[in-house]
Amino acid sequence: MTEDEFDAFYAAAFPRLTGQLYAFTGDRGEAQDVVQEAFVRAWDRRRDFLADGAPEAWVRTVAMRLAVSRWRRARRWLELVRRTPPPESTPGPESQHTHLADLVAALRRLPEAQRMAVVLHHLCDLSIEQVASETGAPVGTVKARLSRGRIALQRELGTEYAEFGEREDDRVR
Amino acid sequence: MSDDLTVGLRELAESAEQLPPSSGADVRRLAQRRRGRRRTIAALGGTAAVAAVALTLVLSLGGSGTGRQDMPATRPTGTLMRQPAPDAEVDLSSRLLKAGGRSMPVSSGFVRTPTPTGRMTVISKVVVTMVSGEVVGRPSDLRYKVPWVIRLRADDGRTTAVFGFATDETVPGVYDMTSGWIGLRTVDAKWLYDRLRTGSVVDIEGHAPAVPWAVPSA
Repeated sequence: MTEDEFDAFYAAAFPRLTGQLYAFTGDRGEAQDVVQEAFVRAWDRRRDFLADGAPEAWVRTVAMRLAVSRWRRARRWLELVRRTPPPESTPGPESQHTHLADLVAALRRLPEAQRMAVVLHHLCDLSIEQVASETGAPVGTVKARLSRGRIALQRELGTEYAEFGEREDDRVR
Repeated sequence: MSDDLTVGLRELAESAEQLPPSSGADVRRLAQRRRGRRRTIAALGGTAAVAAVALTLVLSLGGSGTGRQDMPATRPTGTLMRQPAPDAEVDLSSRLLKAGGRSMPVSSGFVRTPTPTGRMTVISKVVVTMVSGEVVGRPSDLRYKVPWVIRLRADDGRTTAVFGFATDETVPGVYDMTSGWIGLRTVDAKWLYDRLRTGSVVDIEGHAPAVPWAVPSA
């Protein structure tokens, strides 16, 4: 990948990736930070990055791992300085758009692993096998996380998203 | 993609898409600078290791007389590892940010939400962004636009940012009331925004005064 190709890839993929990371982290600034850092690492390790064959997926995986590790580090630090620890998982998206408020509120209540599986599968359009590969979890675990996540969301959202467990393409179990 | 959840998630993600805060060239430059720094540290580490081995050999060979082996100070290593001068310095105690010979008043983190200190690097810049009210000392359920945001990160992952305190220009230099970010008067924030680049170094020292107002010198 030449410098010009990298610059074009950065300009094209950055907005999409910040949107996806926002759905996972719930913080626009954090999403921007981790995506930017992932791109810096991509250029720094471009041999690995290009060998992967899916550069955008590589950047997204690095950004998601950065988001998780930063949250856990911040949480440990807060536990040290406070008596009352913060929640167990990353807080999830904030409500900023009235018509999406219910979905946002439901996502906030999902455990981190379930939210990551839901975002990768339903938003980033990865197959269950690809989600398993990206998260390092067995396929069965990913299926269970997706199933529990969908059930939890369906319970929270009622009829509005009632059909979201019934996707017809062959990627959904 | 007839799935309602997919549609909802895509709508949410699209609503949060952001333009890149810098160019691809800036990203490449930062990556190259980091690689250079790693190589320098590795080279210095190697040199120090060789020097330590040589020193140990000299001492073990020449020290057979009295058995006394006073170790020299390790000053040379400290000299080699001296850090470069920062592009800007923030002194939280005096509520001042100094850069390019200019001194600007700041408002930093409230007592319960102190601004992180230490050496920070500029990781991105954005002309304007939305923040929670906590950032500007207002209720957290409100959101405000703040201009000239310079995001900073330390090597250990702690982050903060410098921004234009557009909601109340009288606060910098007088009160510390942010959630940890460093607020400048808008005109100062724009000046600094134009001056610092991705990869610039900012040193943050001290801690916010215990009293919420500046104490005049005697």
